[in-house]
Amino acid sequence: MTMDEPTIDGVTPDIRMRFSGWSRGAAITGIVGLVAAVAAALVFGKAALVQSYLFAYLFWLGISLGCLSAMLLHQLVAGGWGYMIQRVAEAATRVLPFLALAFAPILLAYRDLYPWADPNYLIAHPVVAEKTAYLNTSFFVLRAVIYFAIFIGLAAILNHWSRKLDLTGDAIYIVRLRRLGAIGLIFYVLAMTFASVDWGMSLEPEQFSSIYGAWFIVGQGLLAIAFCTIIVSRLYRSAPYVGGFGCTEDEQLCQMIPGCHGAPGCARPKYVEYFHHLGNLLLGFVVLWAYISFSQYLIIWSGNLPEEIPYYINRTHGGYQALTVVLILFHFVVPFAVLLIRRSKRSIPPLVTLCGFMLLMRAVDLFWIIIPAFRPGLLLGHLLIGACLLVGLGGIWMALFFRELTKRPLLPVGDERMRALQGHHDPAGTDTALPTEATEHA
Amino acid sequence: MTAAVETSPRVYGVIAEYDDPEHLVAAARAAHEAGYRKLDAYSPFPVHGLSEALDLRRTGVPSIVLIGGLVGAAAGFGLQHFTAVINYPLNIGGRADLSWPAFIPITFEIAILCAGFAAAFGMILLNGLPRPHHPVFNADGFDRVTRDGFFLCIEAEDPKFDPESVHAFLQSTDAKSVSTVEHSYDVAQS
Repeated sequence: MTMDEPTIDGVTPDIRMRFSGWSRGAAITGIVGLVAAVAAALVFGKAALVQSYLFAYLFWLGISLGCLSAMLLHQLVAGGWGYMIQRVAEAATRVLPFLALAFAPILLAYRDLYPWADPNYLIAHPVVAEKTAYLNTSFFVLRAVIYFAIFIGLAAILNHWSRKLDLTGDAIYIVRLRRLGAIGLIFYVLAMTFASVDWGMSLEPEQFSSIYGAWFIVGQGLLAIAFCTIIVSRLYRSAPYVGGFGCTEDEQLCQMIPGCHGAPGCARPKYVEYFHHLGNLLLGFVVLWAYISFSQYLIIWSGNLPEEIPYYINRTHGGYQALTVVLILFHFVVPFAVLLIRRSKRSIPPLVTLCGFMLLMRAVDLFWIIIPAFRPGLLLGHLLIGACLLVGLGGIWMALFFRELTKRPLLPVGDERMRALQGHHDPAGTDTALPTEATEHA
Repeated sequence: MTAAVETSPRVYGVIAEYDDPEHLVAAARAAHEAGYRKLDAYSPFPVHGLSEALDLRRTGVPSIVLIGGLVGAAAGFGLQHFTAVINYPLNIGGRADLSWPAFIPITFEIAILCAGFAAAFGMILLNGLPRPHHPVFNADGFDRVTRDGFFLCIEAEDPKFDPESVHAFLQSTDAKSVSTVEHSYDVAQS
């Protein structure tokens, strides 16, 4: 065992150094962003600050929750792509307690956000007044508590059993994690559907759309895959990815790695396959996003009802039509065309560039969903403060994320399913063939 | 009874049989590295890594599918445009004749349908199907390829092909058996 070997307690010292550097940089960037946002709020007002905060908050919450759902799915299907990103995604889910705390500003200033909290609005809008059995302050707060209990609870159980599996290698935790994946996904989808109605749709309480929750869920999945792909692209050339899923530029070392395709004549290390899978997932989410966005538009456009149609009128007038065109072209058409090309998924630099671009497009989409609810016409103050808060909140989020990422090995070392995928031999020398039917169903 | 034609039938190639997919992949890789290019492998199920070992190039199917999809999308949209705008315009709820959002689902469906057909038929055509017979069926015990036989055939069209050396080469790859495959006799000859 060399010094470079990752320990069960976390990552190798050189990666720890790298991560703590990134963590510090992110924290400083975050604080600068938050200060800039507050300074801008002195000009544009408190309401603009709170409203932009909701937008930035939903973006970073989306990464954590998307990682949670991706990992619940991964525990069910156990594909190689999932093992590539597992520890990155798990670390992102461990930032959820911070995000629960960061929900406080929304609770404190909900009157600046939600019209149903304003008695005068209710008098003017009797239809909304009829909805106050659901849309009222105490129930809103109670529901938020329930959502976070579900999200954090799922993340805690997931991380706990994943840790146990690392430490013991006991296949019982594989079975438990798989069950958690199945049950957890149901809870996540239900909670997120209601949460998106509460936090997003109720900004315009007259409007309703039954596909709204799925819109957010798919957006979160897209965020998670793009984010994890970017992070893994920074790691796959170092231990412990090398020899498992990653590859090394050192050809001689490459050939000594057992189980890798690094036999003479190796042209396709395994990680390429898994980046390809991640690219395919990204393509799937891009198409699903387009499908849901368009379905919602088509249904509301066809119905042309006075309580629904203002939603799209607001978002296609007063400057937002430019964002609408940007979304159609760059959240769907361009990434769709690029991801159809096999080479752009099997070559890391273009894939990672596209992932970064998709993160930006997710921010544009969330801005387009949230901000027009407050006032018609493009709000430049919100754009400025929103950008500052995206960086500010994101910096703090990233700082915590990298701190969490150092705490565990970068690959789930105790998972026999992953070792089978890697084609590695057991350290003890015993044969680890593919898990047999017996262990699969134990 | 007439005597069989004296000249030996044309050789299609030399085929080797292996007991398991691992040997087949190793042999395919070795054959490719030895410089043989016209070779094909036969197995009862898809074998992981075999395409790479044979260095099969990407097929033209994706391009055919893309063209099929684009043609389908154009046809689907065109049909709706023709019926709703040119041939029989109807006033539906005061909407424009060219209400394109309503056309998208059908455009999409037709695109997928045509892409699917293009994929299936393109694959069949590129594979040279339908084809009732293939010379490799003449190999001894080739029926095992649907059960437990793994075969690698180096074809006579290969520029490096030479019956003896190919025989010797395949023998060296841990083959269970190696035999020469001949083209079928013409009906007139037999």
